Amino acid sequence: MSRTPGKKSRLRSIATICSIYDSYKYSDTARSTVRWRLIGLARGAWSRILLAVLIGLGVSLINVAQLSITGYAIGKMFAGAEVSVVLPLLLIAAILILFRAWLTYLKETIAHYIAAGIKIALRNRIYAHLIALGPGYLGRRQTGELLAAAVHGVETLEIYFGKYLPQLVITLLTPIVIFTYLTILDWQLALVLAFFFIAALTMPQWFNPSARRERRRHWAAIAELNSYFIDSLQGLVTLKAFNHGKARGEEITKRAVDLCSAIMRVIGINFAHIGVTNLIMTSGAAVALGWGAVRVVEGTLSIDVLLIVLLLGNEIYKPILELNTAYHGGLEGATAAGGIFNLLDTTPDVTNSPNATRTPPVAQSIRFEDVTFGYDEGKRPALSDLSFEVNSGETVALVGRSGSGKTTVINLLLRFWDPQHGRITLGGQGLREYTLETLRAQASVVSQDTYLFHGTVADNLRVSKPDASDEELKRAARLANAHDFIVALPHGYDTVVGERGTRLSGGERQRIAIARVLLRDAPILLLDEATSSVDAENEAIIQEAIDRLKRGRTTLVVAHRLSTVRGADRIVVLDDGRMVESGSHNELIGAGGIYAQLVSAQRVS
Amino acid sequence: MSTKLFTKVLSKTALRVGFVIILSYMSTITVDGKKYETDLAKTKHTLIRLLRMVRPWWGELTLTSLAAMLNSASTIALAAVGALIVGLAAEGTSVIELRPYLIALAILTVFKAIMAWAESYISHRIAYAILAMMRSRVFDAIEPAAPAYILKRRSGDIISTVMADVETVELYFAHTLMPTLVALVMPLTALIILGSLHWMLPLVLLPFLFLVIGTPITMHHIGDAIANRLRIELGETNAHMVDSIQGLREIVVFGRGGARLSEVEENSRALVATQKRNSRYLGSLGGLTEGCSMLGSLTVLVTGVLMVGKGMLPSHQLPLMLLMASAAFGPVMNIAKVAKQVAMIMASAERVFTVLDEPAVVRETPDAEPIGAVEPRLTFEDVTFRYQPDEPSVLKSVSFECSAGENVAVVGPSGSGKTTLVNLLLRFWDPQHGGIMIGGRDIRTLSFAELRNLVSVVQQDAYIFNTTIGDNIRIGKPDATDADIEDAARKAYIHDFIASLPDGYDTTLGERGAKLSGGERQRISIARALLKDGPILILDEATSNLDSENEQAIRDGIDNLMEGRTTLVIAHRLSTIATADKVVVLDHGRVVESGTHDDLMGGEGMYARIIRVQRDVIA
Repeated sequence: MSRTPGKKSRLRSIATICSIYDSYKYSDTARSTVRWRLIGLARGAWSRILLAVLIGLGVSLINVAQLSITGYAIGKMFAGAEVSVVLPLLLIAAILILFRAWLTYLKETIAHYIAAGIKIALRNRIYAHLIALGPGYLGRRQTGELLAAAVHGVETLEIYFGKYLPQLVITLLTPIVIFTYLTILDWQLALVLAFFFIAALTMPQWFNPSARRERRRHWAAIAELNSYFIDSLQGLVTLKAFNHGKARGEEITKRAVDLCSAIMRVIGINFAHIGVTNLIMTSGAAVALGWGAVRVVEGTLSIDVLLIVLLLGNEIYKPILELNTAYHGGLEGATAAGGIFNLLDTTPDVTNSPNATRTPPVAQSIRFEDVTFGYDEGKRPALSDLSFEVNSGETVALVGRSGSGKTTVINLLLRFWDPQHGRITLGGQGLREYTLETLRAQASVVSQDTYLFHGTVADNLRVSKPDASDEELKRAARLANAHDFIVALPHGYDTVVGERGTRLSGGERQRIAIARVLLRDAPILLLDEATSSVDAENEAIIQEAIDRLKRGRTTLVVAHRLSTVRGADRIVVLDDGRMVESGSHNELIGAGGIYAQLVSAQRVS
Repeated sequence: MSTKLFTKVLSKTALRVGFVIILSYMSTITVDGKKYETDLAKTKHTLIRLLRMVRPWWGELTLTSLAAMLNSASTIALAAVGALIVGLAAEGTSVIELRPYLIALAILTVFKAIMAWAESYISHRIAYAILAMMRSRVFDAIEPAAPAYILKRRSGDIISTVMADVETVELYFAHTLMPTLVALVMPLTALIILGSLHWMLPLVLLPFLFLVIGTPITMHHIGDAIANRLRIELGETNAHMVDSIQGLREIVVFGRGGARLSEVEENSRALVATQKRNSRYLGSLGGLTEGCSMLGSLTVLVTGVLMVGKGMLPSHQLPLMLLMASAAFGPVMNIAKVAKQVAMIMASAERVFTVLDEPAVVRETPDAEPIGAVEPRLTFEDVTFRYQPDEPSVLKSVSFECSAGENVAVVGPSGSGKTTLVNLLLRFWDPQHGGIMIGGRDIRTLSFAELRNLVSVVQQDAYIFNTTIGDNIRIGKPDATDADIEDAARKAYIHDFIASLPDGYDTTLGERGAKLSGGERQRISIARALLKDGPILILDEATSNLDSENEQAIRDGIDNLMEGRTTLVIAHRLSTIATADKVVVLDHGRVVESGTHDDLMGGEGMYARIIRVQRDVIA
């Protein structure tokens, strides 16, 4: 249930691939719900989207106007007009071109203006929701998945709101305007072009079912190669030891080839789709042109109109092409949104009760009363009917094999989860009667591994008390036996640590955690196998610091080493989520139960 | 003849010019938010290396180039025929005279569609075939470099290279080569046709063509700076979010949610501001090039109009002029996009090549002599080893021997070099001094296959592959029958458990064997070693705690495994050490003591001290 730092940087591409792959599993109705909710998100940006639509329409219409004027000018030349008559027409065309260039600039820029507000608000909402969901939710998820939603998902939406949505409207509106104009020029040619336009818009739909099927296969092939490669990398030492690397390589080649043929099928269909669309569009222009020419020869059409048709022939279809480009963004946006909405729809397991108090507890006594708790419904509970007590100022050690539920006790005490049955009290009051903030302010945790944020050592210490003075920091660090190693770092307290900074050893991180706890000065101390990942030499130093920490505090220790346990007032032995024994070290050794067995199982490592 | 020569020279010059344009684009490359000045030589090298990969597909490449040229030719022809028809119609020809042109129009329409399809389909076929090849080569390159290489890099990064970077290279084969060709051929043809109308027309068009090509080149430094800033800020936002999610427990416990949230917003705002700047840049670039190209066509038309006015040209050539001028710009505008792409492709390709070039840590002896029947005696002779030249030695003159059939336990504190012994024996690395002998023969003179057949390993953290249980055991011996596997499973005391699963040996185990307990995994790894049946056994005992029920089964399985084999145990359990024929105590890479358990406990050495201290640990 704890965080697993090793897996933390699951790759963006994988996460995206997987989330896209997942989205193909959604039903069509689920997808259309997502679309409507997405449009709901754009509520604040309607006016900007409208502006984008107007600009887009402007670009298309100016283009039509410019080409018409040019065609008209050429027609005038055919009719033998003076150059001085034609040149002003071409000057107008030039002005229109410049105007269009400016609009093109605006069109590109506006996308970000539309999306900016939405993106900022959405990121805030996602992170605020994550805080509400708390570490309990996080324990069951991979960071990569969340990151895909919170960072990349949000970025993807920019294209959805900035480009796809406006383009959708533009594609619907532009042809209407153009065809009205063409009808005025010559309704018969307009009809021909309209026929091909509709064909180009609808015929490719025939490819959709097979395209969707092949795309699904394609994602499956990606996922297969991806997970097979990860599996092979992580098991590579085993593979080599069993002389199996070459064979595995051939398996990978096979999967790479499978992926290749899967994508070629997708591409085959895609290109058939594009090819047919292009053929229809070119045919439309060609038919209109040919027939128009014949009619000009027959004298039923003016040459000006034919020239305009010649120049406009391909322009008419541009919105379709642009929509095709934007469509991809739309699809990705809908997919990303699926992930984001999934996250936002998750309700927090633990919330503040309406009548929770901010008054801190009068005493620090902790009681578990018949507590039963399981992480997942239907699975074996992690704790069953657990009852025990820690009096104010006492130190109680929890002992048991891994998986016996020790860490769960601490998770419940901090209300990362709530138990399904039974009750936990603090100072005689149920945990739920305090606000989460008040409850968590009472307790400090030093856990098996301590997370350091990207920032200086001082920043990391101040996490627990933002307004602590430098003097306070140093005092806490000294008490935590951390001052000496901090001073030895390249920039002392200002050394940047964390994922992208100087790496600290497990023992050094633990001492920072202890210093944090000292700064915070909360009355209850929870030690979750604080020294288990530390070597013997470090352990003594840390143990010394912990002993200082325990002074005057109510302490619950999840214990790993005998030395920790011996100092406890009482030992509670857990097995399979139940309390099987409790008492002092000597009592338990005398009883000859599980504890005695654990102690006698000597290990050398 | 001379025109042929002329076009040849022209096209060669154009090719060279194109190359220079692309290379100048690539003078800076941004990788992971950092800007690198690449010497052109390196980039050229990468480019050529990529090109060389196409070699097996020369036939297809010729086909797709042909299709690409025919496609652009028919695009131009379509425009020309259309313009001609209009011109003819304006002059008032008869319908009969128009007919051949109309037929040509129809044929060209279909022909263009087919060529366009062939061009993209074949180029993608080449691209994806090369991608498949690269992906399989990446694994082949990593395999001999492992585990050293894997320790250096996170598997996430390697996967990113295999999936994302290789995918980026697709752009090169499917979306760079042909567009570059077309960008050269199309404008050239259009210019030649314009020239055939009047020699002045191409001269009018050329400045605009250069403007369209040159604007992105001159502006790309601004663009790169913004894009760089954008990448950095996106990286910051990203990293901050990772930090915020991974540290969520601490944030919540210390009540810092609100503060963190405002940081998230701050980052978001900075990112959006830069994105706006970037879009303003892209917008002005788009507007400028588009404006230039349209003005270019219009200028050609104006020139034509003036010429027609002076009677230098017939008026029916005006539409042709206009369409040819526009046709010249399309692919050229595209090439700016392509060139931008090249920088990205190069960065990805270099990452891929870095993996492909990863030197093997250990080389297999070519045509190694088969060892035949061998006495399973294992000797470490004066072995000294360090992982990196600048690191201290992990093993220092280590010598000891496991006689045939003997059971030797190696003990020592963590970091004393125990695991390194196993790494050297399996030849994941080779020692700098000394050697390891099996039956008196240096293992470096054996083929990998033979060495790894002689040595079976039970690893501490046995890796379970995401496949069926049966296949996971079969890794020990790929040609094993189902009966062999079951037999091994029985001896490893895992058969009953497997049989109790709904699909038995065909049960899929999930990622990293998630459905199994530590003890079950351990027993599967024992079954593998049993199946493999090598005469020498390496046992890396698990340090983690297993429940007592499992522990007994594992011990029984191991007893079966050790029977009749020379065994080297990296020991953590007292019970294992106590039954060993010999104990070797390592400290800081040196053998400090050796002897039987009782001998050593009798003394006051390191061994006796370790045993006493570690008795203190519980569960």
